[in-house]
Amino acid sequence: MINFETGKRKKVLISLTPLIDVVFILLVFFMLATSFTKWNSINLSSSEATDIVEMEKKGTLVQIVRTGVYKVNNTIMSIPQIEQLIETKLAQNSNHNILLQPSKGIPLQELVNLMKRFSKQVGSNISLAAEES
Amino acid sequence: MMIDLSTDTNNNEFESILPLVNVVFLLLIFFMLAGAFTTPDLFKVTPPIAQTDNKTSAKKGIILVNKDGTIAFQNKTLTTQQLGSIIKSKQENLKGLKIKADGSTDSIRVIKIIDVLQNHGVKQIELLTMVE
Repeated sequence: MINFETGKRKKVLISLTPLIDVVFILLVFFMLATSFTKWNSINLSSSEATDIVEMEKKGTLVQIVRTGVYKVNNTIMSIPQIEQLIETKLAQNSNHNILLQPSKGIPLQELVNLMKRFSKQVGSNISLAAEES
Repeated sequence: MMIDLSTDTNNNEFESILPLVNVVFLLLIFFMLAGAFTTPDLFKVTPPIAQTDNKTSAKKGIILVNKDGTIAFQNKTLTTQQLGSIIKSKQENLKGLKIKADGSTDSIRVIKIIDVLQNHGVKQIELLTMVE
């Protein structure tokens, strides 16, 4: 006997519960694995002048003695004073450079703050130098 | 007067969770599209906060610098010399590297790393910062 199925098909009901479970698991995975941190960067292009003495001739050497204390030409100056000095030098030479030389123990945040501040005046003409030991 | 108290509970239960399922689906799509996958770093680093014009990602070619100055590259803790020799051996990395250093790291340590990278021919070095 051959069974010829005729007539109405049975309505197959698929349970949605496993699907919802999987979606929940995926949701938790994506929530934990993704990051929304916005990253910015500061370009640290290599400066042609590696010699500090040579660099000093081209620009201003700003020594970071300790947090909030800066020396230019062995004189302690505040940031507005340094900015004024740079402004005067920029009037003479538009390609004026700034060489930042932090002392030992100066946190990177302090250096980045200064770089950001001076970049408004000199753009990317900022070089970094480690204090000679 | 007759009140129809139909007891089609199965259907009602399903219909009641439909909005929840919809919201979960929407959240899933949001996280899939808006987020970026990150791999956990070897150690916790909180980069300096600064908003700059250069938007970047923190995915490839990252040199981690810990609070105490420990360096990690490609999930390995290295000394400055080891970092130099790895960079030298991997020519493809010379194109550009990113430094993800902690905001409280000694600046001199970071400058020394930059020096090492430059001495080994890395042309583009970026210092990663976070937006407030």
